[in-house]
Amino acid sequence: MAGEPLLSVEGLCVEFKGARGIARVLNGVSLSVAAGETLGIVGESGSGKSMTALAVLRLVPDPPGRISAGRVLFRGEDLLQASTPRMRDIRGNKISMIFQEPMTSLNPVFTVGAQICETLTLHLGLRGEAARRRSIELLKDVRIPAAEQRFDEYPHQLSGGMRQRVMIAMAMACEPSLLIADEPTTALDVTVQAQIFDLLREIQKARGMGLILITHDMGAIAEMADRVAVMYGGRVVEEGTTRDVLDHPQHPYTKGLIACVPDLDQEVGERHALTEIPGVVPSVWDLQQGCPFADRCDEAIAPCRTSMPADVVSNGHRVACWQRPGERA
Amino acid sequence: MSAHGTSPPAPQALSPTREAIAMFVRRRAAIAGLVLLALIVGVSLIGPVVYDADPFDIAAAPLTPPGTSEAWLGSDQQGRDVLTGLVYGGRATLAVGATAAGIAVLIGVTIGALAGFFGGIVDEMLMRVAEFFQVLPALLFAMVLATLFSPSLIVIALAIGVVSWPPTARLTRAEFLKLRELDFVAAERVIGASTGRILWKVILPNALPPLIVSATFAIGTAILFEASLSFLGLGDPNRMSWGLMIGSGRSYMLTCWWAVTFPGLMIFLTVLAISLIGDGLNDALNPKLRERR
Amino acid sequence: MTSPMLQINDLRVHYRRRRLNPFAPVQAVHAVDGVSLAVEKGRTLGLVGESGCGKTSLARAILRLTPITGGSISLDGTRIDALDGGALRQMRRRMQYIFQDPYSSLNPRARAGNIVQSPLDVLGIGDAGTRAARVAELFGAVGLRPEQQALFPHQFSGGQRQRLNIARALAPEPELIVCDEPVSALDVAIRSQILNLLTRLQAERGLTYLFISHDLGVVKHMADDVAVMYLGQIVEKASRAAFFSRPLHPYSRALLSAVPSVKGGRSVAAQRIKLAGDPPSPIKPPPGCRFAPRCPVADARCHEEMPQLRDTAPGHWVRCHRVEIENGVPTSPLS
Repeated sequence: MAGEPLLSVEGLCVEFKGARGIARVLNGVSLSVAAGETLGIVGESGSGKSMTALAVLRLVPDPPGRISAGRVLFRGEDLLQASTPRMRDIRGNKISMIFQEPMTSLNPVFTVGAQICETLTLHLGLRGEAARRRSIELLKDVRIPAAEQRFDEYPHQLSGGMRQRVMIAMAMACEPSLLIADEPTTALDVTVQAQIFDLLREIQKARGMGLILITHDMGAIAEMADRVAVMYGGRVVEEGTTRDVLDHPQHPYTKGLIACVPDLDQEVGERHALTEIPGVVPSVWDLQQGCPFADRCDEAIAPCRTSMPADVVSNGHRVACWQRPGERA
Repeated sequence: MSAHGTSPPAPQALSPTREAIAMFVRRRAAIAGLVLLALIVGVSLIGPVVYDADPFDIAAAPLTPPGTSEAWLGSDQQGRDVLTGLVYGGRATLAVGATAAGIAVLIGVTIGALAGFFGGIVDEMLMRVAEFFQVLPALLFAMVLATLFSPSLIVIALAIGVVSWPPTARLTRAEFLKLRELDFVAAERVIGASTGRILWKVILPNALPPLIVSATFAIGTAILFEASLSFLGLGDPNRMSWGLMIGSGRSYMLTCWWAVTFPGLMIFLTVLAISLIGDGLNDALNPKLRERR
Repeated sequence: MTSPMLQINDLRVHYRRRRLNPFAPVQAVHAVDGVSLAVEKGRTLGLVGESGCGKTSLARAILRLTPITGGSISLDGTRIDALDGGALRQMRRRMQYIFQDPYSSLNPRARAGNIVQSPLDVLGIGDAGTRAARVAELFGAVGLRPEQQALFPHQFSGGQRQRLNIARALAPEPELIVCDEPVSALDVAIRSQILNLLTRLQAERGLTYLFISHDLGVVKHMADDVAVMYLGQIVEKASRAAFFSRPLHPYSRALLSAVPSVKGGRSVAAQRIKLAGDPPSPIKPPPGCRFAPRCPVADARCHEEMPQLRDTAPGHWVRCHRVEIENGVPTSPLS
């Protein structure tokens, strides 16, 4: 493939201890993203998509959580072995993260400017007028109108979209080489979501930054991602280039996820019932051996319930399903 | 249709109350507090029945130190037996504490609920009243009440209750303000529920957890309050209470330490036991902690 | 001609803003500002709009949860905007509400069976035996098992909680159900289960839905008629076919093009109609067309004069100066 990946996650496992024993929240997750590339991670709540992001940054709450196995290679350096000061340097500086709810990620009692300046002081040692000037530049970079005035405003004075722009400005403060965006537009309106997506694309292009976009929306994946990983029950069940996965989904879960969303592109003709994926995402405490999707899968066969299928890779399209024993090979 | 086979994780119907009890039982300090309080309450209730004596009687030579056979825990300056005083004094102290806390909670919850639910002018007025009682020097006000009326237990309990309800009212108001905005309250209005039902049957049960905790601590505070009043000589002089014992023994404190130390210790242990229970309840009823099973 | 199940005329809901300074002038939030709508019996009207457009205020006003500033609401020909007391309670039998958030809309201290039964208890429908039977029937109808009646809300998943919400709404046998974003808090795979359930219940029970959503895909799937709301006003209303085949208002077109599509991907995103900024404040709405400050095709007139909602084709209403009608066919200024 083209060069060494910026970030590569190999066999990542995260366990949580609870009253009911130990739960595997992530179970051998492997992913990679190259510089300038967008990797989409799609899945429902409880699939482990946010946990993957937290584990990459070593932010899994410990206890009760623990990264129990795997490697997270960032430019060849295993972050799981890195010292705490080294990790602190990497977070925010080399790898930044933005979250779903920009209101709770910003401190309500400080001005927007003060919070950006703090990041600049912390990582770059910028102070006073220099920090202020750079902050306003950053606000302008994320297309915030009247940046000089916004600098002195409080988070509650901004709209949701503006707040998310501020979060992006803060994440960009140290010019990170990788940005992890966890459901960055879920709390926003579609017209504002479109603006944020444009902005992210623009920034990525200008800086050649790697981007991991975590979402539940297949449409967002189609629009933003070069490659996509579909997660279910703490595993990556399918991964490949976005067009390949969306046009020729292999895993029954991916197929269901695409089919169950009402399609706006469909002709205004007769309507038919939506495809359903029966049941609910299993609780991490109830995961058995075997494929985590087996109980909801209408293609399940005997081996699905007893052992986890191995990954089958062909033409860069990876799928973990007993019903797909290398049929595309 | 599909969608049927969705099984919930636990098929038993564990009510929030049951769950809180299960959580409470797991806290050792809380159980210790509960045992201690049960012991104190048990002795105070049963002691006077089993152990027949008059705590005001002269039982030994005045100022007898502890350890003698006629007065195990010594006697005070009037020759009254300290142990008898402890056994008999608990009733008054506990009764006043519980009654006063009950009165405070009753007033506080009613006023807080109405203020929080109706908001606007009702809220403004009720909260001004609460502020009035809050800025009043509580001890002084209780002293005035206790002096104006003959100091019987009920007057003292009332005096304490009337000055200590505002914190409960504020807490209740805050809970009601928060809860009335939630959709399940709107859902009650959609089905045409009366205001009474919404206030007392829907919101109040959900507001109870922090109120129970605060009521527990209110008992402790009321007991201390009662002790302060008795210490100042404003208690019922005809009923033995731990506060009265400390109050009457205070001038002899240096020569006769036992007459004030033992009742003081009893008050301390009682309030400690109640605080331990309160903390345990707080943990058990706090939904954020409970979710971390 | 039969009267529609729900008829709203020139409805206004203004909230007074709390003032910190008692001498400052009173400011009103024009959450709903002159909305007229009709929902025919047995049909679904999809109401689309972004956050803050007033769609939830409208829903709450219809259910009489929010004071109405002006206008009228009729349910099956009966005015309900002035009802109170017992008459309003009786009217509540006929209209119910499904909430967006399946977590906060169920009393955490009540058992599932009691929650579903509560409308029957409160409205005094039936006796103990018939109520229990009705609850059992409703549990079956929404796809829950009878033994789940004893459970508490926290023991259910989000989708199951929404089924409980639906069962509660169905309990008094209403004719109209206002569904306020009923699936937006749910996981994608669960949404289709709930949407299919709502569709099936409508067919079985002849229900009329006012279906509120910000998700155009969902509205396209559910609605027979569509109304688009922007800053307290209806800017376009039409039948589903007319709306989705030829949206006329620039806002409708922008909204439709903003939805990321699985098929379209990047190529469609590149041709998107871009809207600048956020919706203006409903406290001081702009004097002309409320969409003008963000509209890519607004001209001087749009900024000065408020356009009226006019029918450009039979049943297709638009609030826009720039929509032209040529040979009876309206054309959008944006295409």
